Amino acid sequence: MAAGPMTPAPAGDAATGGPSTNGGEPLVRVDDLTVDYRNDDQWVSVVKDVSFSIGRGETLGLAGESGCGKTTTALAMFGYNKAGSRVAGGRVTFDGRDLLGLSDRQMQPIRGARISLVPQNPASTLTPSMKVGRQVVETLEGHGVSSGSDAMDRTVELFGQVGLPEPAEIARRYPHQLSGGQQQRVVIAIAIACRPDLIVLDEPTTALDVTTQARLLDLLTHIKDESGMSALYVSHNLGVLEQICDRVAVMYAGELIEIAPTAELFNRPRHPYTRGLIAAVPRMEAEHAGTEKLRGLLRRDDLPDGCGFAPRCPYSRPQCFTDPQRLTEIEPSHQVACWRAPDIEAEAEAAP
Amino acid sequence: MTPLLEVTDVQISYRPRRGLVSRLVRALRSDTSEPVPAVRDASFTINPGETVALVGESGSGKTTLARSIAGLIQPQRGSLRFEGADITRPAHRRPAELLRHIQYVFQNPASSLNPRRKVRYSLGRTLDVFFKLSGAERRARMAELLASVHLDPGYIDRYPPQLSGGEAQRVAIAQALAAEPKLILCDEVLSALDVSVQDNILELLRELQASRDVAYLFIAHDLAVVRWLADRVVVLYHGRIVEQGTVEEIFTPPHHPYTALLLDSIPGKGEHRTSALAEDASTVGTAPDAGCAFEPRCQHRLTGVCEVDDPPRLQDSPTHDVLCHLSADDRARVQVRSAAAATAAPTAGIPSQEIS
Repeated sequence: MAAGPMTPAPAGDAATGGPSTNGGEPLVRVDDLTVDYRNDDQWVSVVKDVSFSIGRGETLGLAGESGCGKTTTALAMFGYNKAGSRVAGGRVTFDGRDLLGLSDRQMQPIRGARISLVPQNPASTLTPSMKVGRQVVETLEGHGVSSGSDAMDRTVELFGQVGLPEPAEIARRYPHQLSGGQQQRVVIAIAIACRPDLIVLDEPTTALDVTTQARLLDLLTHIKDESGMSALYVSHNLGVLEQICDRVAVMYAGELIEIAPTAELFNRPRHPYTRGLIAAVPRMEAEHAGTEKLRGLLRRDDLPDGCGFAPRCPYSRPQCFTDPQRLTEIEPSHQVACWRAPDIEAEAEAAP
Repeated sequence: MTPLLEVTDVQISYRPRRGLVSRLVRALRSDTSEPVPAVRDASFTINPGETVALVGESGSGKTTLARSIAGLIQPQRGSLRFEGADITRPAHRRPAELLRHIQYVFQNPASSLNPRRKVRYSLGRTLDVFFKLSGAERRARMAELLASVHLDPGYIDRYPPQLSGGEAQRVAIAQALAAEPKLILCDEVLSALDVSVQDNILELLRELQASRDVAYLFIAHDLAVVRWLADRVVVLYHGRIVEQGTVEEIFTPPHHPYTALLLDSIPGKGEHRTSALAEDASTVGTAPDAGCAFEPRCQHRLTGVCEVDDPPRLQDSPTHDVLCHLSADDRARVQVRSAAAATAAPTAGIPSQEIS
């Protein structure tokens, strides 16, 4: 992972598993975040007591299967007011301010300017009936960054920065006249237009070809290194996160189950679920190890009182189904929510 | 051995729109150009029980080719043979027995299954079209089909929106299996799924092949997935087969430069990647009128040759051919060199502006 000049080396912070960024506060701090969705007459927690932090200039990956709560967690960076859901507890502190306590009006100058979003599907993010250049100008003007011809000049400059060929020409096109990769570059241009402190990327390359994905990952790495902004990168593909993140957090059934620096997580994954997720990444190098494969599916309606992963875990014991697991530090800056983690490595090596 | 499917010199073009407005626009632009074929000179075979992967980016013609095999599009030129018999005709003019033997599984199960009909209906329909079964036989057959894709019998009364992506894709596979086909066309069946679920479906496809001896045409844009499933690989670029060979041949250098790019694009390879770093975004998606279609994106193009002449089909081995002006030796040299250079010094700078 290429670390830019502005990227501080992640160092341990026992309380949140976050880096202590050169003595300063991390940019983002999430403490015991719990989000409920309404299901008929009941509230169901889809995110439970999630805590992590993101340092300045750091990229944190958030991994997990569909339905694990990773997107819900990521969207909490924008405050929370989605219909049919509520924040049942916890805090999201961004640069010293509690985002969850802010009204929409108070959030307005932050969203898009200091925290921006790159969602999964660029085609549905861009307004189909508006030229793409105009859509960037609107963002710049809306946040009072620049206006008129200055804003258009800045737009062309941004398009060049995200590697769009003939930026001035592209600015005059409509979204449907661009390829998926080009559309996503436009969305990235909008996201970085106001030089945000934090960019939230929610599966930004999943809908794209592998070759386009590779180019976009290079571009994002480059932009982060140049600008020194922080990023939260959500993906189900650990291979992608390995390439772009400083640290990776893994979620399962709404809970954070492991968090560690990227190299550490891939070299020594400690949670059985993380091990399975890594084994599931399609790789060129070696044949899949059959023993570590994930079995079954995440079933939200059928979770035990203890560890949510226990029904699918090859190492589970009766206690796993009854005793809830808390994230605990197992190495400096490496936390895992599995009481059996120390034994599992030994067992995995002993197994054929 | 007679191949199960033989595709010979197939060419498919999409007809330009015939409406008055479209014709008027073309006339005003004095556009008399012929449509660019979506697939050109495509020849390959699939043997019984074999998995052939069809690989390429969006727009390369993979799905068009699969649709022609299914009889959903008619090729303008070339022939399709199934077990030696000519099948170059649309699906409605094919015998029922042939329709049964070629089944299709689509990319997105959420849109290929009827959301308002229970799983029972989707499976039953296929059985009713191809077989005459009694009520008891029909029920037993459906239970067996669900079991073969590892779903509980209870799923028979579920509606598709009640299924997860992986479960829905299992139902779609069961539906294809219901016809007891000899060939299943799997069109990006993993793309809409989570990585961990992809792995389960891959495992299932392998298991079904072992027990039923069914052949797959497996369409994908991700080579890492292909490696563990396919026997042979066909690589498409802009409608032309640029390389085909056994899975070992495709994954061992020397590659076609485009295959090398696809291999480099697999996530998680970090700084070992080479060509993708230097890729010029403006050249993607367009092909020149003359010479090799991949030439504008190719790092190893020969100036004065590649943009002028159609590349020859080089036979690297009896089972391995490559559409390229560079000989196997030349390709081996440049590919080893660029891999070494990338490991020594990762390129920096804005990726898409590296090459002019």
